[in-house]
Amino acid sequence: MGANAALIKSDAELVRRCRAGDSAAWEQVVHEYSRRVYNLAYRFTSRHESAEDLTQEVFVRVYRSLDQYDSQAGDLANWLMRLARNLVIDDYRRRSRTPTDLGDDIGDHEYRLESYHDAPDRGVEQFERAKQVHAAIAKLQPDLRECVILRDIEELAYQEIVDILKIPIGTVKSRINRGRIELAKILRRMKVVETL
Amino acid sequence: MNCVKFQASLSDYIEGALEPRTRAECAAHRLTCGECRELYTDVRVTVQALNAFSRREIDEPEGLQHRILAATTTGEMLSCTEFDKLLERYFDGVILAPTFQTFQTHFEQCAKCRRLLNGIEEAISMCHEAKETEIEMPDSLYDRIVAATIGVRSASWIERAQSAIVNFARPLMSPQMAVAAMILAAISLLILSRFGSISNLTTHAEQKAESIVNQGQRKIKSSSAAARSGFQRVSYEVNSFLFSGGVVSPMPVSTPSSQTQGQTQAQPSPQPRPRPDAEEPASAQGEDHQRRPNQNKRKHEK
Repeated sequence: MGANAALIKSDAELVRRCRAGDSAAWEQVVHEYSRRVYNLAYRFTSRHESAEDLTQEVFVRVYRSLDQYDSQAGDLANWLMRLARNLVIDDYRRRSRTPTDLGDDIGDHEYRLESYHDAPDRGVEQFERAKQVHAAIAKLQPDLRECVILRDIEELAYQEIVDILKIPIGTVKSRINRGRIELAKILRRMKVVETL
Repeated sequence: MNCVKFQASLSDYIEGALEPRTRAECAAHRLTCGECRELYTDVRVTVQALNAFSRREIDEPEGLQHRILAATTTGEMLSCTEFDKLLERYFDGVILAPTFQTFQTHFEQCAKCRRLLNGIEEAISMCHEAKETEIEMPDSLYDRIVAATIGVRSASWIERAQSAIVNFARPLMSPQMAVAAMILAAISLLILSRFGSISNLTTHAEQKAESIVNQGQRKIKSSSAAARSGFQRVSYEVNSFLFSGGVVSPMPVSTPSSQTQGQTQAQPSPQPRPRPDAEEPASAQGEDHQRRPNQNKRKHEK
């Protein structure tokens, strides 16, 4: 993708060309950030399919919002990921109110746990463990989950979480604390925590 | 410090965000309470595991980038309406490079627009083909055009005559006429195959009729000759009976044939003497003549 054009170094130039309709420039943006957005989406959805849909949705919104990007205010990565995070969380909250699609990926975690124990490959082990943790995260109640993800996986500062979730910092802190404890208990019950 | 307080401060304790005094109290509780010690370890490990996720990203599924591009470039960068607008410029070959890239991307992503463009290309190539391979115009169309235009412009007398013929001939061009023409053609074909040409047919018929007439005349002559000889015989016998009163020797009817024949051919005038031998060829030919003369004569009359 975008093989016919040299990589555009400057964010301002990249965005300007995207807005002018240069598809190669837009392909470069998608190529650079789709993986990060997908991972973010997957943390919140715990489902590959939903994560894919969400990632696509994010990029459609990003494209529409390109004219709002101000290169003076920061680099494209921050701007794009902040926008993506807001969208993912909006989506997450929307789905949390109707939690019908949660837990499917967790249903078969016991089976995975067994298979993990005699998995000879270290890479497979790590991969399996990551899946267990994701399954445990998915079991957290929604308000705790978003705070834990933003804090411990996205590694945001408390104030950033406050800005995104628009809740008091005290609430953010207590949710993160409760979420972590809850998650540790779930992982212990799943017998994953000993292996971490 | 009790378990509830310890657990409430656990995050800050792990993150090292507590005041020194509170941190010390927590450390003390951790040493005494086994349950809280275990929880502290679990949470610490869990947070470490979560932090590790941010550094160890999972791979995005194959084709996701393509899907995103499809969703954005077809939906946003160039709408189908814009693609439609660009089509004309595309076929005129005047799309600039950056726009062409967008145009091409939309073409690759959008099946509907792909069908549209391919359909137009097909139609254009069909037009080119049609230009190269002309079909025959029906002759009647030319006539119709001439007929329609001739009334308008002042035509020469030749053209007027032509158009008059054309106009006269048109009502004759009915299906019945076509059938009649075909029958005529079939007959002439038959004649040609049999006689070579129409004139051959007439000469053949003339010859045939002439020979029949000749043979007929010959036959009449021969029969009249026979009648005459018969009459002579009868009169001879009557005479001999009347005048001699005795049995008479038969009349020498059967004269040498060679002599009779020679006489017949030499003397075209009717012969009083009978020629019995001459009757044979006449009767042999007679059969033939009885059947054919009428036909041939009729033909000849024609």
